[in-house]
Amino acid sequence: MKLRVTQGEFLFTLSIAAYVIVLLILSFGYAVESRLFPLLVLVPTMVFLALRFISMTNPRLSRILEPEAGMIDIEKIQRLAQTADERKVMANRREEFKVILWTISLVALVYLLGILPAIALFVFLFVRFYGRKKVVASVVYTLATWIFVYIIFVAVLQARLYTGILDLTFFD
Amino acid sequence: MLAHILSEAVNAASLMFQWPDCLLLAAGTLIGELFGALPGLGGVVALALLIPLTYEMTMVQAMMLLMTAQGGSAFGGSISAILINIPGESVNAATTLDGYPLAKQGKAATALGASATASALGAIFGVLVLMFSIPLMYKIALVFGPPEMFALAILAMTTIAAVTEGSLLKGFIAAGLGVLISFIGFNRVIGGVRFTFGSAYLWDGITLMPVVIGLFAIAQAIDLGVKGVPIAEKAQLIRGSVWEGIKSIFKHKWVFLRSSLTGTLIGIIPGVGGAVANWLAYGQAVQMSKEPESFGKGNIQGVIAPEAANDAKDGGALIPTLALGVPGSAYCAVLLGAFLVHGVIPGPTLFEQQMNIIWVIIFSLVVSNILTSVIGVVLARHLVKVTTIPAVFLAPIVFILSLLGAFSARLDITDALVAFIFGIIGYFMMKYRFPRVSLLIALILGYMAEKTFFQSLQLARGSYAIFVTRPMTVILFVVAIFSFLFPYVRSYAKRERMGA
Repeated sequence: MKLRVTQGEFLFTLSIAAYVIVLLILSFGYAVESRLFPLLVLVPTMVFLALRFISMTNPRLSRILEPEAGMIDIEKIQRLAQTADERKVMANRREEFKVILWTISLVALVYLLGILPAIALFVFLFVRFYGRKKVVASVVYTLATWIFVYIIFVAVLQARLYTGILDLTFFD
Repeated sequence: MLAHILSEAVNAASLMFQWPDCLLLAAGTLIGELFGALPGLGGVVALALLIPLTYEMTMVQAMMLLMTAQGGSAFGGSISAILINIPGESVNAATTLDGYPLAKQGKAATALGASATASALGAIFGVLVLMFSIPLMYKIALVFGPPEMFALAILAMTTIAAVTEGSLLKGFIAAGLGVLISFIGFNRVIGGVRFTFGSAYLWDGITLMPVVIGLFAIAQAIDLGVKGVPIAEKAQLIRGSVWEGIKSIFKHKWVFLRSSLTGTLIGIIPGVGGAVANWLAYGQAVQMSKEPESFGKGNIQGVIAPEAANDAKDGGALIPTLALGVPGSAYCAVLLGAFLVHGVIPGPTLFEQQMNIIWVIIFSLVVSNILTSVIGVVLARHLVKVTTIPAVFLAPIVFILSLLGAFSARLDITDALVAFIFGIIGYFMMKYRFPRVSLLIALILGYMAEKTFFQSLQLARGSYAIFVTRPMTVILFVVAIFSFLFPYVRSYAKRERMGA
């Protein structure tokens, strides 16, 4: 089977379909009134997903099944202009994986250490190692960000920021 | 009614222009303009990140800050479009076509003057339409009962999927996903818990703010981290006459008026953002020009048309948002999130009890658009420097502000986790061109659709006939079917034409 789209797009669509199927199965366990509206949405969404899968694998049918939406032929005009997105180089999968890993690490750091320590650690490590900036630049940027956050959220808005699971478990 | 409207206008003005609150107007405008000028960020990201700062503010202060940020962002994007050939946001993409060639010809100041004036006057045009439609909006809001609201929600969902650019199926899948997410949690209309997978957190459902912050701010930050800031052309020197640019609006007044009207009308249609308004207006200007071949080579009309349409659409998009709670565009969906935080309910109640909020929104848009144009022209050469900030510095600050924003709404760290999950989903939606705005608007409309569906059935004592016996409902359903079929019919006609 030859794909008309990238493997990544196929997998992304597949994961949406998996989620929709799980919801479909779950909805049959609910009372009639509770499942009525979800089913009214789930069934057409499943149909659209099925059509999308056909369209992803069959170029001939794709032209019929999947006309371009939109009020104007934007692509035609865009060919004249280079938009910001088009100028960007195609995303490197490794870079993508790294950035997503960084975002997950931020969430993990916040969960463990709390918001303020996590911000300091994350910003420094991100700028120093992902951005490959010098130590001094990384420290200065980290300090500036941390002070900005502290002034706005702690001093001015007086928000009670999350202190982390370690603090809550051992010191609270 | 008119006396009430006018007295509330005076009340709103007196609240807005008192010291030190009026500083929020300048602050919001500047923040919006900076976000607008930064390629890859933009107005919606600015709004998503600013909402948490408004939690402790009054509703008037919050609206002043948010609306001025929105007003400021559109023109900010045109500065980088003209001077370095990089649109700050997709809504400024068409401006690069003639703006940058003008700058290269030594007429950057003329292009900026035209863009600033078209933006400010375009926004005022949109706001005037919004102002004059207030009595009509009030009447519509009163006439719309549950069956009409249900039909409207269906129409809006069909429209957002069908008219957002890209694949039609992807639009519908994104909208379906949005509605399905709205079902998560305890259902207050019919009772019962759905799709929580045993999680106590999900009993309250997925709240709007983490989704907005995730889909727009975090997804954008991931994108920035992966791709970096686009490499700009060398910034052009600001030469030429600003006055010449301002005068060009009056010289091409019909282009300006037509584009502003197009922008306002596009704004009213749910989900159709500034990108469509700005390309459509540009396309119209080319088609109706006596010298279409001069476009793309530095025709000032190619700057006026997209910028006027882009700013005029803000006023138009507010009409369905304020009257019916149906967001006209992505920024309106974010605004509805702010409404929720501050206890404002769109519809008749808003007109009867909080009319001053509508005026605050209107005045803030006008003030910010005038302010942003003046600031933009004066500070353009400095503002354009923000585009040289490396992505590695921008991405972490957006991550941090997103995290704090998602957390601060309910002081729940799980909200931050949800925001990051939606950030990753949003990034892949962006990458594979699934419209994020369709998901967001459908998420808002999903709850409304189900609630009004069951309210309608209660009204009709269980009879489904209520959906096909009321004239307005029938009209709305017919339009929904038409908007669903339209892309297929158009595609069929195109194939037939090419085959012939």
